[in-house]
Amino acid sequence: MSGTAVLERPAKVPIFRPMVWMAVAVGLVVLCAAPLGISPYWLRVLTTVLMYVVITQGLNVIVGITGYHAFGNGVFFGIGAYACGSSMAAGVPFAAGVLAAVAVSAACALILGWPILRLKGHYFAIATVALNLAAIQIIIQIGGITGGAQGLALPLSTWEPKPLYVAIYYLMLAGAVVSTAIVALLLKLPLGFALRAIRDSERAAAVMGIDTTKAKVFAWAISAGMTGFAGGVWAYWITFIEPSSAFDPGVGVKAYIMLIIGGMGSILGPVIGAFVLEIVSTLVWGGFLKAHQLILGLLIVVICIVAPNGIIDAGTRLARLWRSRHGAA
Amino acid sequence: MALLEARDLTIRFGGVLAIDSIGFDVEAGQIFGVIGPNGAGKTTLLNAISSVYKLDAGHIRFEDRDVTNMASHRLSRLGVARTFQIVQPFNHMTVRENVAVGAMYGHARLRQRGEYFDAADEALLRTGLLAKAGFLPPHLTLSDRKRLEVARALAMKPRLLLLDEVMAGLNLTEIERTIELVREINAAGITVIVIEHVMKAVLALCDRAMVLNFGRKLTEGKPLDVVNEPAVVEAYLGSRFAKSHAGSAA
Repeated sequence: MSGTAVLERPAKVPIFRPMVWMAVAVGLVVLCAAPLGISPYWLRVLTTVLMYVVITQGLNVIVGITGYHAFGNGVFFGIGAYACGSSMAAGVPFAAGVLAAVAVSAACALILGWPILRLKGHYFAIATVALNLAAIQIIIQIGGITGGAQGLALPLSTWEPKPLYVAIYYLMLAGAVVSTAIVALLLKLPLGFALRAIRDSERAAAVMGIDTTKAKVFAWAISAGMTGFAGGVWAYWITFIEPSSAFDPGVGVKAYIMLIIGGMGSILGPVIGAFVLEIVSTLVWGGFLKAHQLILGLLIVVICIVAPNGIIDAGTRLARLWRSRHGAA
Repeated sequence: MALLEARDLTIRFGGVLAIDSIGFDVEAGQIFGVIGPNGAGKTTLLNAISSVYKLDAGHIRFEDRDVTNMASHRLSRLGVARTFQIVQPFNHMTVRENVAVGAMYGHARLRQRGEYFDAADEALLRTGLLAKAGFLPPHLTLSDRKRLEVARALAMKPRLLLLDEVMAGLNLTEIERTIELVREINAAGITVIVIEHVMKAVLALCDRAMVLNFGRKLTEGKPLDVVNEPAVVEAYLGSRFAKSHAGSAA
């Protein structure tokens, strides 16, 4: 179709694509070099940020791209943590433990998704919260290999603490890069088109030939696998897990805020959201110990008012505005 | 053997019979019209054929295969495509991407990036939307959004296309253009069922027409014969008019 190029007015092509790529490259170089020059405290903060990039990308797949509000997606963080922790306690090496975390989380989403992804809208959202609460009970009742209510201590590494923490940092960085790449790839594949179609009109998607339940279950399994990875690495990082910390509903809620701040359904939104919220909250916490929750809450409200569709969207609008003024001048 | 055979189609909403024992055949290559006053059950019938609603009784055969209450996505893969009266575009995808979804998942099932975007462009060209390929649906006029519904359905490479009031709300020029479009689609070998309020379009397009009223089938036949039947005139315009109409005709 040769005549189209002239008439086409691209509505959604990001402006300044080369600049975005450059920013990503610079960011990656800085993140790779970071452990050389930062204090253990900031290494910990950055590791947490990267962990949340993975969790938020996982949430992005089911919430941002598919439009299914999994409020309780943090359940897969706990499942990943316990899959890794329990298998390591049973004598499996760490690498296999992380694989187990990904596999068990994704398998749980496949099995649970088949019934509960038939629920729509709010019902699905509530069902995922119920899952998170149920998981705590289940882990406590199983006892044995999960440690039950007493928690579970993972085997200690033979490495020195410092190189160990740097290794975990790089593992989280790899997770963040891979999960972001998965989201970027997904958006180019037919499955990604199917999920975006489901988000906008599930009924139209179905009559156009999309097996909506299957597509949603796949999306949730991908989401769960990512979240489970973060949980598995986290378990080894802190070496002691218990039901209330592994299945802390706060994990899912925080990722949700990051997703909203960054921009739902975008590739880099979750990355930006995770960095902004985690670093700002660390700084606020350091500076205003007695009122940090209040100030953080206010900041989140302000961001939601100023950039309701996320920082990515606001940035694109600003860039477009700047370019049109610049072009006119 | 007819392309589509419907027998005793019945759907209840609570105590209301939305459609009641409706049966008809659509032959391959036809344009088949379904008309009737508001609330007659036209859209319910279309939702029944496309498996959006499940039947309470009756059965449907498509290409001599039983498709009664088959899941919508499986039916569409067999070659049944439809549009929605209340348009259902994917608002966060460009017009071109919207149509490409049809080519990826419908009867066409194209899986290569080049293939499905080419198929999308072809459907956009046929529906006259190619110039707006990069737009987002909320930026289109209603007329164009209705065309987008048709383009998405076309990209699915259907054998049977169900058009749900694609002319409602359009002006005269747009109606003319749409009539021409439906003719072209049919000429390309696609069997069409049109549900329409615009009588002019039904008369101009259809080989056969079926009239519904209060969920029941009133009559079926050639469009011109059908619209002059007293029962049909009565359903549309009331019994008093029907009597005087019959009197003046005699």
